[in-house]
Amino acid sequence: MAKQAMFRIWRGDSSGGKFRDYVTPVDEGMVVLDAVHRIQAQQAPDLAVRWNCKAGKCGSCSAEINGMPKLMCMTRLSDLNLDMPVILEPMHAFPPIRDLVTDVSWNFRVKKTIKKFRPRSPDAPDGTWRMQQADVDRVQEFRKCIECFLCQDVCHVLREHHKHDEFIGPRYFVYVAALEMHPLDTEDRVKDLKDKYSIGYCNITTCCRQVCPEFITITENAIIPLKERVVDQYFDPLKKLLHIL
Amino acid sequence: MAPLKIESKLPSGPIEQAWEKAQFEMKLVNPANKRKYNILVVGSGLAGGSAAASLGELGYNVKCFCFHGSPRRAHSIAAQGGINAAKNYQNDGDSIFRLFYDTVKGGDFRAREANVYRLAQNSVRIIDQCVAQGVPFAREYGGALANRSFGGAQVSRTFYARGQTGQQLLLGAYQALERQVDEGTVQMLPYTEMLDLVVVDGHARGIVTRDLLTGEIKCHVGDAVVLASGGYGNVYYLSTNAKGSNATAIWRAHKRGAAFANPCFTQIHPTCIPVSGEYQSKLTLMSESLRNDGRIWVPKKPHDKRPPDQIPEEDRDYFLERRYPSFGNLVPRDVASRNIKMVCDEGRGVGPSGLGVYLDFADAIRRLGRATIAERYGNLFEMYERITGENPYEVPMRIYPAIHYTMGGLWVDYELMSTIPGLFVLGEANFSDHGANRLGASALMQGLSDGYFIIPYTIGNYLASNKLEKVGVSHPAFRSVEAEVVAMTKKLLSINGTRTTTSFHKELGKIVWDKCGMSRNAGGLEDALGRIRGLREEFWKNVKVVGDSNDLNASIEAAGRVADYFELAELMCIDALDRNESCGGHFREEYQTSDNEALRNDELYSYVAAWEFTGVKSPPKLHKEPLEFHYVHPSQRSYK
Ligand SMILES: Cc1cc2nc3c(=O)[nH]c(=O)nc-3n(C[C@H](O)[C@H](O)[C@H](O)COP(=O)(O)OP(=O)(O)OC[C@H]3O[C@@H](n4cnc5c(N)ncnc54)[C@H](O)[C@@H]3O)c2cc1C
Ligand code: SF4
Ligand code: SF4
Ligand code: FES
Repeated sequence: MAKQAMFRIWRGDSSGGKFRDYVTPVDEGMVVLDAVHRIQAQQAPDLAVRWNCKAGKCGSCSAEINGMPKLMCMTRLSDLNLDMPVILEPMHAFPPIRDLVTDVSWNFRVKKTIKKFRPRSPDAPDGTWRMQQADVDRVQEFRKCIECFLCQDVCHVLREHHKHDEFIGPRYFVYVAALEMHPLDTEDRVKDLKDKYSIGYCNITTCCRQVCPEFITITENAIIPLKERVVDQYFDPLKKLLHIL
Repeated sequence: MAPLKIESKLPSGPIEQAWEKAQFEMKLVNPANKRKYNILVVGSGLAGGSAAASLGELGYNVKCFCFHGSPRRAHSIAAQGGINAAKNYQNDGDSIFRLFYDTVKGGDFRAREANVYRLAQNSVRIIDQCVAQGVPFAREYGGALANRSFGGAQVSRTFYARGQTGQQLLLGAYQALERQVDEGTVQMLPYTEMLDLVVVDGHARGIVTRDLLTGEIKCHVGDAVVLASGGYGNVYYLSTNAKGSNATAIWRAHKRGAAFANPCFTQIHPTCIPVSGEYQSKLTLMSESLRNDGRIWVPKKPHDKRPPDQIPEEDRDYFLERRYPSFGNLVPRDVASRNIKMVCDEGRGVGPSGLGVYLDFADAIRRLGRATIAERYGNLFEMYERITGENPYEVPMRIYPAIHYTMGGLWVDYELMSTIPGLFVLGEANFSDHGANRLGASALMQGLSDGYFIIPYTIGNYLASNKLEKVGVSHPAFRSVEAEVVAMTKKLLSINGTRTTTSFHKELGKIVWDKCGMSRNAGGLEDALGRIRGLREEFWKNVKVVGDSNDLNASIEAAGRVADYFELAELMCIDALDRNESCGGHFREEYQTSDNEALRNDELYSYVAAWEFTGVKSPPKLHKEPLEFHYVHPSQRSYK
């Protein structure tokens, strides 16, 4: 029964590294993270990998598997071609720390720059609010985000053009959408979207949506409606006309 | 060390007014003085995150530590089912008293009445607080909050957010925390693990930490220390707990003088995905809410290897429905788990390992339609399918019990202070409110009640009542604890043996699971104690820890945690052996009714067992805190 598979894992740190091959038996039902643990237990005890929940919820185990940004704990070996080496690398859009672990702290710094939730005053005298399930569902989709940053990793604006100083990336458009579309929120973040967060750099390639392990419709439900808000507020043709006159 | 004192500081008078009265009697810190106090909070899950945010908002100077890169990675994120609150929105007769009653009874009469009553009172405020943070709880048609019922309760009082309640609550707490970080009252220290506690003149005055990226060992001074580091379920190696969850913070505090209460009260959750292979590193929980509509069964005949769809109705045994006609599949977790183990021990388990039972939705789908089931459990089904490759709409799920929660923890008084003055313990890390068994959806409630609504008052009382001397990191107490921490790391690195930490942990976990897990007996526990001690000796001679101390080194992190598990596992077995009765999650085979139900012994064991550490190889000292019941009369639990 025990089948063997080869894993080609990137080993190194911020000063550089190289791929090393590990052959290990695989059983039915295993995910990539199980294989990594088996390699860690039997061949490479110093292999660095971050994980916590093994349930696709904590967002710690992001990596690139055969070139695709994925969660190691939710990628079943039966979905990969094991006749070829399985290539495991850390995410490319962020600085490597060691082996499969990257430094994603840039994301947390970006998040701090976004204006926080500010609810309207309560609807009922007992200090509570009324909300419709449809409105709840809309923000719920965005709040499913587990901050795995796989979408950030795949987005060419960050990955290839390194616009980390100007562009907040798909994850944070999702976050802004969760706040902007929250039925109780009263803050305005539209100007920031245009000026500080450069939403205009996104050309809707939908790569981010395709890798999201929570299946958040990042582009259609978050980015496009936000772009529309920016357009409505700043590029309204009528307003422009008035401006010219 | 000062002699250990167990003083619960329970308020007197009618229970309904007890907490209000206690708050009124507490000393206050002048608002202008608050920023002069430094508070160290260890942990940023629900309990730690809510505490740090609330203390920051009051104006204290807070440092909050966690070993993750961000608070949002904490174990709390994974909670699926929901959070209880006695709002009685459904008008089905719920009330604060009823939630209190259910919790005391569910805990099999091993919790303090006053604590539980306060928890039930606070539950109502938690929901309002979380909505104000933007937590999107499910709503009814009229826009009001929706509820559902959850294992062990006959009323609908569980608030939920589509199978991700923990995540939504944690995002709320995280946002409140970030707000305080912006205000400058809270400083977050991610990737920082507490390795020891520093006690000066009998008061908790600081901690020693390791930077997980650089390996740097550092001291931090505070006027009070708050531990909110979660439970110790990972002693068992395989559990539903997040991998990072560990016992180091509470165990090292225990070794510095904090009593450990009821260590043997651990909870098994009946609905986990069965173990699939030897190298599996963690188990996955399926929410208990599935038992609302799924039916649990096994084949009637042992070793029946037919696929489930070829086993006709008359060859199936719906054993929970058969044995517990009124609660059926909804019996509490401990009862369900033991029954599942029993049928598997009879050889009637299903799946490749024989350690599993079916949780079948076929009837529910027939009755309610696939769409309704998808609406209720869609994301759970999806997760199950992603992990097992089987589609639960077509094939019944397979489940098996696993360790899920630890009711035991550091002993705390009514003000959540441990036996070390100035050391407070919140959330799953303390022992306080669930007795011998926790009800579903009550852990989130307790963590947030501790963090948002209790510690903000009680810490002020401590600070205002104690004049603390100024100390710095050069104080001899800090120097010596730091030296001990460094020495331990050096020691682990120098052993250079032949066995990995994981292999020790796995073997230890197996012993504890077999002998101090779902059911226990005196012979088994004695045997376990001998084996744990032997294995611990081998660990300190033969463990292989690789890499450097001044680097990101998971090997060192793991070895230190497993070293603590050995000592804690021993205490769990000692406690289990000492408690000659069955109650809640602690099932001693010698003490059961003729129906195989847990048989308590209130005359001899109606107490909290608080253990004092006296040295690694010397027996711990037992202190008893007697429990009194004035409002809920202890009765034999019955779910027939
Ligand atoms: C799969 C699953 C589902 C659950 N579902 C529910 C549910 O539906 N309803 C419910 O009420 N309960 C549920 N529970 C239980 C509940 O989630 C936990 O009891 C609760 O979240 C614990 O919160 P906490 O804040 O005490 O600890 P945790 O969330 O475990 O947080 C611990 C924190 O401490 C930090 N920490 C620990 N040790 C150290 C150290 N040495 N140094 C620095 N930092 C440290 C960690 O970094 C982390 O931030 C569930 C549990 C599991 C496993
Ligand atoms: S759609 Fe926009 S944000 Fe998403 S990957 Fe493409 S460019 Fe980046
Ligand atoms: S939006 Fe999706 S891919 Fe991006 S961080 Fe969140 S969960 Fe990950
Ligand atoms: S381990 Fe948490 S998402 Fe993979």
